[in-house]
Amino acid sequence: MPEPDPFDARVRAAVHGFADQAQTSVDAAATAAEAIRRGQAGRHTWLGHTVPVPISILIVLVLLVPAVAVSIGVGAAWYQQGRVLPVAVPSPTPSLTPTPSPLPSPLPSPDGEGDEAVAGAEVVTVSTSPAETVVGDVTRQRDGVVATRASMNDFRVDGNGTWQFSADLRSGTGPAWGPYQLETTAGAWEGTCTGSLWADGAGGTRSCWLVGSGDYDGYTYYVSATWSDKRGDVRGVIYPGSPPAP
Amino acid sequence: MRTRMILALAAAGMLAAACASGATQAPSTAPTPAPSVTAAPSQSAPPSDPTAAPTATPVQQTDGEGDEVVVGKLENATVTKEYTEQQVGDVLQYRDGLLTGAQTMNDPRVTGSAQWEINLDLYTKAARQWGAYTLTNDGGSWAGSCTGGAWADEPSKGPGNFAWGCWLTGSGDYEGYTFYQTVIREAYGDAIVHGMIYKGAPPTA
Repeated sequence: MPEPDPFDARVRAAVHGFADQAQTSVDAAATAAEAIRRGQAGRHTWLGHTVPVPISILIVLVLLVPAVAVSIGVGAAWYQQGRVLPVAVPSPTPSLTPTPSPLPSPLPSPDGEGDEAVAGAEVVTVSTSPAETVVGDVTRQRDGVVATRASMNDFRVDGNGTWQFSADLRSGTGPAWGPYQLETTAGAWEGTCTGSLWADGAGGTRSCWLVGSGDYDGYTYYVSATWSDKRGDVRGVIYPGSPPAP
Repeated sequence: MRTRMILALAAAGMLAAACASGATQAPSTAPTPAPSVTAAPSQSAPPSDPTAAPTATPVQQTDGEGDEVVVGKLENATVTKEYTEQQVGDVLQYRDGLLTGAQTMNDPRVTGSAQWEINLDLYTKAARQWGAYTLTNDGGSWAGSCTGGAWADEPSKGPGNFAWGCWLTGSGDYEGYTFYQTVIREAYGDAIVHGMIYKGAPPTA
C-alpha cells in the first residue's frame, strides 16, 4: 500500500479523533466483491424469467392499471355527455284530482278538408275572473272568461278561443257551462260547452258543440277537452253537418 | 420501503376508481309513475266498442261520499242489440244498437254495469254520435245521455274511437246527485273516463 500523502494523513488523524478504532483504510477487492453480490441479490425470477422487480409489485401494477383506466374513463367529460344522471325525486303525493291521462300522440296532420278526427293540446288561462256569490254551500261563479290557445293537427280548429263560463262550485268542484268561440285564420266556430271544474278551476273538462262560419260554414266541430294546471288535451271531430238534435 | 409505498398508491388508486364508478350509479329512489288507467286495444271493434283488457293501474279511491272528482275506464263492451246500418246520401247511419260494458272507477258509486245506445252518422271517417247511457250498481243507478264524436282510424274497423260527454242523474242512493263524465277512446284502445259527482242537477244551459 503506498504511503498516504499529507492531506490523507490529516484526514485519517481527524477521523481517529472522532471515533476510536475507526477503519479508514479501503480494501478495493472486497468492496468490488460486495457490490457484485448486492447486484445479484436485486434480481428476481418468475417462471424461470428474470424480472427487475419483485413479482408482488408486478401483480399490484397489473390490478392498478385497469382500475385507473376505468376511473379516468367513467369520470371523463366525454363519458358524461348525453347521460342524464338520475336524481332522487320524491314520490308525488296521491291526489283525488285526476290529471289528463297520457293519451296517445296526436293524430297525423289531416288534409284540412272534409270530415276529420282532430287532436291537439291547449293552454287554458282565466282572463276574466267570474263574479261570485255564495248561496248556502255553493259558490256561484258567473260570467268568467277563459282564454284558450289550441294547437291542433288540423288548421281549421287551430286558434284562439274564448269561453264565457259560469259554474256552481262546492268545495271548488262543480258543473260549468257557457258559450265558446274559437277564432281561426279562415273562419270561426261558435256554440256552447258544458263540463266540470275542480280545484277551483285549476282542472276541468268541457264538451262543446260548435257550428262553423266563414270557410267552415255548414260544418260542425265537436270538441272534448280535459285540462289541469292550465294545459290540456283536446280531441274532437269535424264533419259537414249539424250537431245532433237534443 | 419502496414496495410499501407502491402498494399504498395502488390501493388508493383502486379506491378512487371505485368511487368514480359509484358516482354514476342510479340512486335507489326512483320517480313514482303517475297513476293512469291503461288497457290493451281490442282486435275487432264495432262502433263504440271500448273493449279493453283489465290491466288498470290502481288509482286512489275516494271515500265514496259527497262531491268527488273521479277517474277510471270503460271496458269489456258487448253488443246486446245489433244496430242497423243505412246509407243515406253521404252518411252511413247506425241506429238503435245497444252495448253493455264494465265501468271501473275510483269511486264505488260510479262503478258498475254500463249500457249505452248507439246512434251514429258516419261521413267518411268522422261521425256525430248520441244515445242514452245508464250505469247501475248495488247502490242505485245513473241515467242520462251522451253526445260526442266518433271516428275510424282504420276503415275496416269502423268508427270505434270516440269522445263523449255524458250528463247522468242519480237514483236510489244517488238521488239528488249528478254524474258528469267524458269518455275518450283512441286507437281502438283505452276508453278513459274522467268525471265528477256532485250534489245538484245538470246545468240547463
